[in-house]
Amino acid sequence: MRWASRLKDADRMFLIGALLLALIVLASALAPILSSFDPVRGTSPPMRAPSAGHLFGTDNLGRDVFVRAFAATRLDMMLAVVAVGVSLIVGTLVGAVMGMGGRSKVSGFLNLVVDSINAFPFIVLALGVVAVVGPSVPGVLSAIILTGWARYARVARARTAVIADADFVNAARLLGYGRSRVMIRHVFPNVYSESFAFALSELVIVILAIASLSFLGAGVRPPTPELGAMISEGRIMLTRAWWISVFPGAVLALAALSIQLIADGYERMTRYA
Amino acid sequence: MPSGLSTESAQPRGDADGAGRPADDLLAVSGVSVALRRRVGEVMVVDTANFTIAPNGALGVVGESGSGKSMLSRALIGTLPRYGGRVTRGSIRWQGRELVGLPEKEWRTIRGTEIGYVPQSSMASLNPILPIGEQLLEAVSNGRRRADAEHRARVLELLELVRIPRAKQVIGETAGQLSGGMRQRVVIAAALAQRPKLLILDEPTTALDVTVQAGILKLIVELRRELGMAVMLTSHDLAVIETVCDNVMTMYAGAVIEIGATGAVRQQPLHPYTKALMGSRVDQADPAKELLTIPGEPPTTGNWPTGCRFWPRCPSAIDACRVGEQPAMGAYGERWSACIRTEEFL
Amino acid sequence: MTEPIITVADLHVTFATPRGDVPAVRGVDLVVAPGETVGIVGESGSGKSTLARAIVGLVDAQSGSVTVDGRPVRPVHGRRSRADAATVQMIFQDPYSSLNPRQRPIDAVAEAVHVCQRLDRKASRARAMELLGSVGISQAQCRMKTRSLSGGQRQRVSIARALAAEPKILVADEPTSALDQSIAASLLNLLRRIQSERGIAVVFISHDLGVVRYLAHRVYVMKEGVFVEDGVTVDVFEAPRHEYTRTLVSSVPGAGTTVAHGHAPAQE
Repeated sequence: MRWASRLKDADRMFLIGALLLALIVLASALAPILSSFDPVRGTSPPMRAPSAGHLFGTDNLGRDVFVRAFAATRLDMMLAVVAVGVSLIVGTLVGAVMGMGGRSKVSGFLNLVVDSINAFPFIVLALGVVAVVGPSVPGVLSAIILTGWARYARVARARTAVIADADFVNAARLLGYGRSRVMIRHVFPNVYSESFAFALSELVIVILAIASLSFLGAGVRPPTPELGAMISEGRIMLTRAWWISVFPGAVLALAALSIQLIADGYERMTRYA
Repeated sequence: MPSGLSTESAQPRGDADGAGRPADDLLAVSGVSVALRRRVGEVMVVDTANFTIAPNGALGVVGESGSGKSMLSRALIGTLPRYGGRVTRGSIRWQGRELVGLPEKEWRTIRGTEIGYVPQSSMASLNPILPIGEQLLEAVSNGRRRADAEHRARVLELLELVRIPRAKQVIGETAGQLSGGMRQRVVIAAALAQRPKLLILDEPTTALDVTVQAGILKLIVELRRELGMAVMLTSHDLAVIETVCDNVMTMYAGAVIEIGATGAVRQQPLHPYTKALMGSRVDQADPAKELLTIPGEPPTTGNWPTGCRFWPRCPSAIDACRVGEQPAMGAYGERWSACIRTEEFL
Repeated sequence: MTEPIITVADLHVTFATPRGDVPAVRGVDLVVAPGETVGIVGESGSGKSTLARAIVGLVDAQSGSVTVDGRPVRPVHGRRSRADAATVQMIFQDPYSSLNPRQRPIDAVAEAVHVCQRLDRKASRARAMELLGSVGISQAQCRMKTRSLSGGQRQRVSIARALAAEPKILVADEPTSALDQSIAASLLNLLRRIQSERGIAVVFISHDLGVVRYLAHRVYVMKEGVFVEDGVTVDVFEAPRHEYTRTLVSSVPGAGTTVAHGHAPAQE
């Protein structure tokens, strides 16, 4: 009952996004399991156009593009969720400390670090990190997290400064609540909700960033299926076998769109509810 | 639907001059309902309003937040929220001309020209970076591109009209450099640029200090006299309306529930809500007297009770108040009340 | 005369802005007796809110002193003891920012009881229920989300939360100015009842002369950071001595000075 009424009130765009995302997640979960094709080793004739047997066709090594694309989506999404999750937690904690810290030396130093990271072009910084760690799954993850947390820190810093000045926090102080109680029960929950909305919108950027890094050869490397890498691989065969690039690209676009719709809808719902 | 009210002879009159003929009315509002679109669907915010304003009349609309007074005044100048705000039924006649359903292009010949409007926030209605003079020039030239010396003279004249000292300096300043009271005067000057016959002011003094408010109210009273125009003013403060208006109209939960001459209403309010509202403010003559309170909270839009909107909070409610529709306004001499027990209170 | 519970002596408060220091309070002396309601009336920018915040320790004084219940007021940013909390509490102007949006009324008040009275969870909730009931919040409203409460209900919850500390002084900074008149009236009655029942001192800050007249035994009139006049409420409003007080009193609509009707067709 309650869910039904909440569903009716929910933002329409949010629902469309959620539905789309559910389909993509379902497909990425099931495709590699149900299909008899292996996403890494080619067992079919290469460069076949889409057909009933191979919905998205096959690539130059005889691998099924459909299975590969959704295996890649699964990897990309998991990487993005982990990267955003870690950045969110670290960044929000650091940002909250900075927002509360006033003019202490620690918060001055953190401010400098955060502003420096944020001032750098993201992709250049990420490429730099990958150059050190190496193009691999851990490389991509650390690149995204090391550059990403500072954005959450900035959001949390601004939000914390506002909340720390709000009258309900003043009231808490007047009631003699200890510093940690004020922080944990009154400031942080109100900072966190906004950071979470920000994280949802960042998810899109991060998915695209992972794909971009791999596309540039600085991320997940073949033969591991990854959307950016797949688009890159298929690029040179675009005129002869368009499906090798175009289908992974479409899946990437749809995944990004679905998350964007969810993020926008979530923001609208939390703002006006 | 109280069909009796839609005939003009039974129209509650905003002006005290009960003898005036309908054709003499500057503005005649009959059966007007306004709805806004919310996430849950279309929600009615003004329900079947009936009133008139005579030339040079002054009508005050008193009501608390959510009573619908702002949306009603916006409906009168065709600036309901663009997305999903509309007059769902009824008629608004401006000097005999129907305004409901008027195309936007024709609204421009009325809004700002014949009916001036001063919105709630004077800060938001002035451009923060454009000099005051430029903004007034726009209002004076009414969108025509070339502004001549005549227009510039008119700008100065307007600033003097609203008693702004050092007008020549003020035209070069921006809104941020002016005090709240000065800004409000500038907004009023802009609304007067085309010499409107009716000036609608929506909570014109709400954000202002009491000494500044006194100045603005005095200005409105004087302008009305000097320019011979009609005034409609909304406020949550009955005392503000008493200062400026001959007639007062009370709104509660989207419904007009009482209309009468200000002095008469002050002496003996007919509707229990008006009465309660007056009892809930500090009595100037006896400040220590216990304030009357109205139990509960006003219903939110979309959650109006059946029957009279006020019955859940009304000390005089009887069973008959709780059923049916919001009671229609009934005439009691020169006055109007939507309370079904009015006869007993007289 | 009994020992005052609040003594403010030559208080100066200055705010640092990018354009330099701006004085908000410029040398103010004030005393409040236990159980007394003192009104501070002034217009925007008069410094009355800053003074209120200085009395509870939310802003620091530039110079001068604030003594509350015999001790200098402790800045809120330092560690406040239970005794500090039990001395002075505050009700804020904006009902929409004075409650934590993530807490339900019962949780907000129970937390205050728990911290201030050192009661266990169950006893805190029971006491909180009592307090909320006494300010007119129903059992159902206690468990509602703060977001769905009206402004008047929020202010009541704020009052209950402040009372949880059992303070000797309540500083109320324009507690009704964001509320509709009929809602404000019941809140004023509530404050008056609390003041007389509990015998606590109330410092009531407002721009509204009417409500100050209604609540305050004595009143201070503030303008540009200083008091221009003070005295027993009736005297100050009936026979104002200072020019500014006179202007203020005569500016109240309905006070009789500006009522002027045009040549309106007001036939009797």
